Amino acid sequence: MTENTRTSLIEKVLAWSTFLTVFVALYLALVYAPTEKTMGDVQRIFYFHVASAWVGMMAFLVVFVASIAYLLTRQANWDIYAYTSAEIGVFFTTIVLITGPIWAKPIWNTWWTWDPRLTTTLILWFLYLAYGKIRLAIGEEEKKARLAAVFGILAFAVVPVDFFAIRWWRTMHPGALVTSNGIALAPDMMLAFFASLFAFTLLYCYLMMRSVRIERIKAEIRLLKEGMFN
Amino acid sequence: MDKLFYLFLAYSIIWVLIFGYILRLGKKQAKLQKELELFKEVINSKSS
Repeated sequence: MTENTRTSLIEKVLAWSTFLTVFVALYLALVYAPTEKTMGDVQRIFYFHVASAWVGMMAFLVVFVASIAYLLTRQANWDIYAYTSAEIGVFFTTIVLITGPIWAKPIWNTWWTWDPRLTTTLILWFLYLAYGKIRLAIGEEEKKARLAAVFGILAFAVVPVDFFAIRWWRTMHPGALVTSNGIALAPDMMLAFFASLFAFTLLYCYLMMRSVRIERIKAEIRLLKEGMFN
Repeated sequence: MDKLFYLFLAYSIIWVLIFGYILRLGKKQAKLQKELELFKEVINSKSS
């Protein structure tokens, strides 16, 4: 079995398992989980809103780790992992920033407020957008990868601030799910919550795999072009 | 407005964005794959 065939097979298996898991998670979130007493059905936004936030932060952690690995080894693969993960992280954070206000409007009676959690999430989104812009602005491959890696490491400092914002400051945003008394969710809700987390984590892996493949094709084309014109 | 409308709106946006993103990746990959094949063909024809 060639490398390409193996990658295609893994990609297909991952695509189907993601599709099935997402389907089950949707059923659990929209049908199985009980309706929350205070907020009503709109609370069901929570399952995929939090799952998106989780994947966004995980993606930025991958950027951080891959950036360190790149600076240590100077292997282009680490740069590809960092870049693709940043793009996917921005994508999932965009979902968070769209679904959050939709959930907030009927509950807080406003689409947006400069609450610590909301503000830090917005800053995070802008930072990783800037990460992408930096890459576009620099032409030279090695310099681009090096500067992006430094930026990817520094930008990660905001991720823990965003994560702990609801613990450190008084905020309108719902409190932490995990407390010293355990997870603050009814068992049926907890199942739907973990299913959506798992589904979106698989979706992240699938998107990463496809994006990395695209970046490798791009690199191969670049090499062929250099070979043709030099 | 009914709370169910907000639920419908949020879920619709999530899935439209996700499918849009996957479609975009698919199109990008197909275009690059075609370009790669073309380059390989040109190189092969030059060397033969």
